[in-house]
Amino acid sequence: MPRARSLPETLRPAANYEWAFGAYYRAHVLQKNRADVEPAAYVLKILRDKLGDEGYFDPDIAILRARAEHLYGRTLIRLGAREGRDILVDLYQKSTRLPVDGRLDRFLSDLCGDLSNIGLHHEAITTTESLIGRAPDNDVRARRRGNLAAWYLQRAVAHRAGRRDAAAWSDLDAADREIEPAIQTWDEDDKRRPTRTTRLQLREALAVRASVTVERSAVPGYGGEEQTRAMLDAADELRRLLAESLTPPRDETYLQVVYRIGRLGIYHIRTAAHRDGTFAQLKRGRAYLEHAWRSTGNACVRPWLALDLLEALEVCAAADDPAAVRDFALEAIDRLTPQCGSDYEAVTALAESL
Amino acid sequence: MAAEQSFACEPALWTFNDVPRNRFDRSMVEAWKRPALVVADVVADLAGKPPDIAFPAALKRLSRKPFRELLQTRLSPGHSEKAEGTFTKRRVTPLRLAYGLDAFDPREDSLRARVLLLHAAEYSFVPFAEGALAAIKWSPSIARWDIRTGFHTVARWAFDHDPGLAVLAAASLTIDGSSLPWRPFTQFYELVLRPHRLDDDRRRADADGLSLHTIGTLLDANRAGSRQGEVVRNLMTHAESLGVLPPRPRFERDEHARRQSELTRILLDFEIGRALGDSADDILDVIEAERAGAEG
Repeated sequence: MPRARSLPETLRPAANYEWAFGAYYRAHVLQKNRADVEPAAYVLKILRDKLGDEGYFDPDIAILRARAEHLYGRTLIRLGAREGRDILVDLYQKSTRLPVDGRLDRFLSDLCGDLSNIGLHHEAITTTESLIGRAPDNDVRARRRGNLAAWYLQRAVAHRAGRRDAAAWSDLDAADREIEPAIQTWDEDDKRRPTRTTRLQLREALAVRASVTVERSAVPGYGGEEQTRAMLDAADELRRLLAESLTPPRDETYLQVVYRIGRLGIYHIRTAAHRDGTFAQLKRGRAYLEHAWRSTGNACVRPWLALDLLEALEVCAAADDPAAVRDFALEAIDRLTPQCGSDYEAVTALAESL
Repeated sequence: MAAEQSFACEPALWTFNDVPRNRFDRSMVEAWKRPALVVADVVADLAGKPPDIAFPAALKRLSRKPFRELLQTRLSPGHSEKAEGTFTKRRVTPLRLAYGLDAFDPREDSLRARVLLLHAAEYSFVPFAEGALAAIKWSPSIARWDIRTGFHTVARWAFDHDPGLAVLAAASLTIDGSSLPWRPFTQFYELVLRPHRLDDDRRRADADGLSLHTIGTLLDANRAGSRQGEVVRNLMTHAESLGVLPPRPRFERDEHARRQSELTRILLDFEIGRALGDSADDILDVIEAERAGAEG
């Protein structure tokens, strides 16, 4: 159809807000690449320049600006740039000045995952506690309580690495206290109206509980019949969850799956060490942990995975292949330092193994 | 800012560019924009109602006379008459053709209301697609990431930005369980596919197929209470089955790591009791026999 050149070709000649969201979605997809996030960083750099610093004071684009900044910081960390962590720290401080509403809460809830990743455990925990208080309904509250349990668990790992055993136990107990009501909510939801979403949320909450149990076995003071039985139950739970989540249609993210595989791996390592397990069980545990570590690609990684794989290598390979232990420690330090900082407990613990 | 890093409108995405129009119609944008906003208002009024209630209610409120009344009550009188006169008398029929609704029984008396819902949804959706397309141009990639960008943008729009309008638009393209593709989705997917599908006919057919599947997926997701991520996964799986996407590449770069991952997954499958399948079992039997022979 021939057209007069002067006629408009769009009904939305200045849809800046929607255009920026479309570009953000492009960046969001590009940063899912586990092998290369440079293109994502490039798009995000253009986008944040466009949105400009003044975006923080325009309520319409403040959250989008914050989300773009969040993704940019995380992407830089994944590229090994320490600047990424500084961006996230700065973003957290700026976000406390934004007006509180549902959009901010959803953003903060996402940000807390990376605050925990970069070692700002206290900030992740206190922010999530506030978010639970502002949750609009039971499901959101349950999701945030599940998150809070996970942040306590991550802080317990930091305490374990820093040899603060009592603090580690305390955080693991707090994680258990938070995860139980979340499990109850999702279980009731799933019985009332089972959907893939309720199943997914229930599986994730159960995985956090199993992970807390497995983490206990790393802290001095672990032992006794009750804890041993709980560990066996946690392993069974992980097997069941993996069987369900690996069967299509797959709803879990790859990180959720590989962390469950890693937890099952360290279960094998510690069970073999504590209970005269077989050499095959050690090899199995090491294989699972190595698979989990490799599968995380370039993602921000939970430090427990590095610590537990190091433990597995020390048990399995220290005698006949000490270079494997050292090479892995160096690789893990290289990866965790931009993410958590060089003085983070897990990084220090890895360095001590050299 | 360099031109290649700018946002730009994509005329191909806008259906009104395919509709015959008077070259002297200077008030065109206003005449097309106002009905879209009024329909969005109607949909906002129905927010929170399940679609099997909201859809008939929207159709009823957008039938001929009530829609004129809505325009008159919600807009300044002078504008509403002009907008209504320009739009509903001269634009609905060409739009109905452009959206392909003539595939439905012309005696179906909801067609006009369906056109209005689709027009409002287009007004809402297209700028998000334009933003995604601009960013694809900033940093082009392989088919997998580009097409996933398309699906992600559609799903985010449908779940986060205009969920009510998105599901009513999908319902508008469906009668008696039979759906049609939606032109804005088709055009969007075609532009996304352009660098990866050089054959025009095949590209158009693929875009049409993906558009149709998207409509069905959005409706199903709404009925099942599914999340945005499930919709994207469903669309990716469908694109793979159509051959639009190559199988997902392994991210492990070296062969040793790839093989180690695959063997570990087999080991895990044994532990968690997942069946490997007969063909995999046969290969494992051969491997076992080979290893026994080598050791013996």
